[in-house]
Amino acid sequence: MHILRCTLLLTLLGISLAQAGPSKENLLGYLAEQITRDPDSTTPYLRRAHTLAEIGMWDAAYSDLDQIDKLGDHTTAALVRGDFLSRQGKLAAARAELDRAIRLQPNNLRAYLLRAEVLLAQGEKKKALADYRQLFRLQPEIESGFYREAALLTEEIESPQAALTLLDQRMETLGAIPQLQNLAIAIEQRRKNYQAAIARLKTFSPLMQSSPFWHSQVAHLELLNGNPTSTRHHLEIAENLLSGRRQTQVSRQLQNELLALREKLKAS
Amino acid sequence: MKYSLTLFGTLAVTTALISACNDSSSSSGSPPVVQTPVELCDGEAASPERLFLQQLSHDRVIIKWRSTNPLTEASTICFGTNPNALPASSETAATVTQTRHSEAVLTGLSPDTTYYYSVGGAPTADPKHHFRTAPVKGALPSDGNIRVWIVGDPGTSSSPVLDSGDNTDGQARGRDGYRKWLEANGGEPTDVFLMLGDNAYLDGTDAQHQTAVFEMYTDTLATASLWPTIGNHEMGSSGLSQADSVALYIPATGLPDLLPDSPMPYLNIHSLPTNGEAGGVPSGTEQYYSFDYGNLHVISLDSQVSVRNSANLQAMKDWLLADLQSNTSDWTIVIFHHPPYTKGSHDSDDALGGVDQPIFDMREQFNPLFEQYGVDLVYSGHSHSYERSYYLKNHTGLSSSFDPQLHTELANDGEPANGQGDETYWQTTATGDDKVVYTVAGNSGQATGMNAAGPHPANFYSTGSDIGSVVVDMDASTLTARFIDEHGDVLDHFIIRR
Repeated sequence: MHILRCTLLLTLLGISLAQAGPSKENLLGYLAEQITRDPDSTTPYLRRAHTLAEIGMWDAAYSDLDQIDKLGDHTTAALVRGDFLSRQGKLAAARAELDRAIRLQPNNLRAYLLRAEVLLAQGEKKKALADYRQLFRLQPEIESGFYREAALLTEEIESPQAALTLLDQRMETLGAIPQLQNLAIAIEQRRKNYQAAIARLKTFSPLMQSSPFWHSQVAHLELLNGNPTSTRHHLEIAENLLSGRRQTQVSRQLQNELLALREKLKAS
Repeated sequence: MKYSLTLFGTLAVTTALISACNDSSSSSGSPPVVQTPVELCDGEAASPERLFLQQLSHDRVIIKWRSTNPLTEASTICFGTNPNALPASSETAATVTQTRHSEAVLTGLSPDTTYYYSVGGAPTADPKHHFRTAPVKGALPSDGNIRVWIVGDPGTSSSPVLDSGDNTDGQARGRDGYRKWLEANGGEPTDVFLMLGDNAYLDGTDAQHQTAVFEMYTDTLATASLWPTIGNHEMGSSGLSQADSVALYIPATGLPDLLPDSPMPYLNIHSLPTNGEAGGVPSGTEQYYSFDYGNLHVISLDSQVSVRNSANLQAMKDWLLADLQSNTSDWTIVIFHHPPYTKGSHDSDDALGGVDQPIFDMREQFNPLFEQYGVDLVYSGHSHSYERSYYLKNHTGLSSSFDPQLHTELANDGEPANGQGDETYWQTTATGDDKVVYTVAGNSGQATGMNAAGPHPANFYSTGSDIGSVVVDMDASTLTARFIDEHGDVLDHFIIRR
């Protein structure tokens, strides 16, 4: 039975490696050598676990993580196990491992990041938001997408104003970048605060403000804000800027949008 | 004490003055010019093991260096337009980063001008240490041509696993092929140096960057600005990381770089624009950015980390849209690591959901934007092959859904145009500016063959057995891209006119 299981495993490994290409085969051989040479080091086990996970050899990957546990690096073992389980869609088990990682190391930002994503996938939005906040305390420089995610959760769970505060806090350091300010503009629009949305548009870089797309957006918002003079002003600038540009799919689309806006302006 | 330009100065100073006198004597009949003594720098030239240029624009540049011995590290730089007389007024102090890089920001430079510099602040410059600033936005350099050199997945020299067999010394061979081609074709130097990721195998550690980047491209890095993108091997874990944040970088050995720096050496080594310092819309991150070089706009996207998280993907997309909407350059090149169309060592039809998921995300979510907003060229690596597409639009599916009649620019014979001879591409066609040439150029350090299912039908030219690099030349009306192999031979080329 044992021989049969090993044969099956080796066959599967052969198929997987053939699919994955020769570089992973070389890599696994290289890592096996490293493990033989230095069996007390967790590093080659960790690298092999990642390699095995990539080719779907989950059992073998978890076995390497068990080895890391035995060697005493319990946090890494729990963290990576949580990551792998999450990737396999085993969310409850992943969460338990990440809870364990956080108990072992309460300031482990990787664990908070991974757990926030698991919690989000489980629909536990409040808890996910709490983990994001902990993440921002530990690593304020984290990618802006996570701030977007947290801002959307904040808007839903708490209030639009709280979401805007979070985005503005991050933009104090980064400046008005489209990744965050566009979301803030959308939130202002959702609460019909068009004046604030326009003010936010005007914080963008001079380069962005020289684009017909920017003037078009301001014109739309000015119309919603009941300001036809300013609408006309930005509409004309947008049309002028657009006429100097070469024809692309979106420049033609924008041209149509500007025509429609002009009609709306006439009717208003 | 400083050197100064007087008749009683040093040899270097005398040379500078003689040169100045010769210049003034040419204007016969004019009143004699009174020479104002110019104080020169008086430091000692240093030779750091790591020296490179960042964020070179029309009016500024960052010069960055690091020596093995921190005790003898140079702390200033001098620069000027005369290599034999670097003025004391140019002396610029460097700031030192957490990872011990010294970084001098030179500002107030003139566009399209050659400057010489001395790390350590000597009065004269090493002949190899010079750069030419970019022309102003929209303009061409005085030689009329912008030259871009592109290497993909080059970093094999730092990995014994990869620098072996048929690929032994592959990285140096690829580099030398470009040098041979340059020597045979007028020697015009590189203006813009792009690296497509996997720049330092296997884990993108600082030491691996030293071997595979700084010791490999030393001369180019001292004279042209380096603009990289993140590959899967820049994220550690032997290139297998599926982490969706750079905070999750795992090195092969040792510890990640320490907070407040990023744990990821790539981000600590490079000083990439976050605030539109060299043109483009501020991105607020070094993971993706853009810049202008004269009439060229280049966008570097992060297909390795940002794309693996839906919120970060949307954030990058928001920024890209803003950047493309603001872009008015004649030519636009986009770089990122994961290729939309490949049948090389990776297959753009396979591995959905795994380490290659970004191949699908880039093709499905970003290719339409490139085509809608007038991008001309997209370069990627990842597959260790050279694969160059036709002039494409509207294909975001698997290769089985590719229809040349629907998805390519057609030649007069009704077949896909190849971009050569009388099948040269035009930027704006009857349907507007809506087509892009996608190229995989991940063979600058190793060539690992084509997939058995290849070549990809979207590609006109595919090779998995040649090591090499790409050079793109452009003026106001013509762009020519060439694939140069290790022997200096051009194996593929295409032309776009506007």
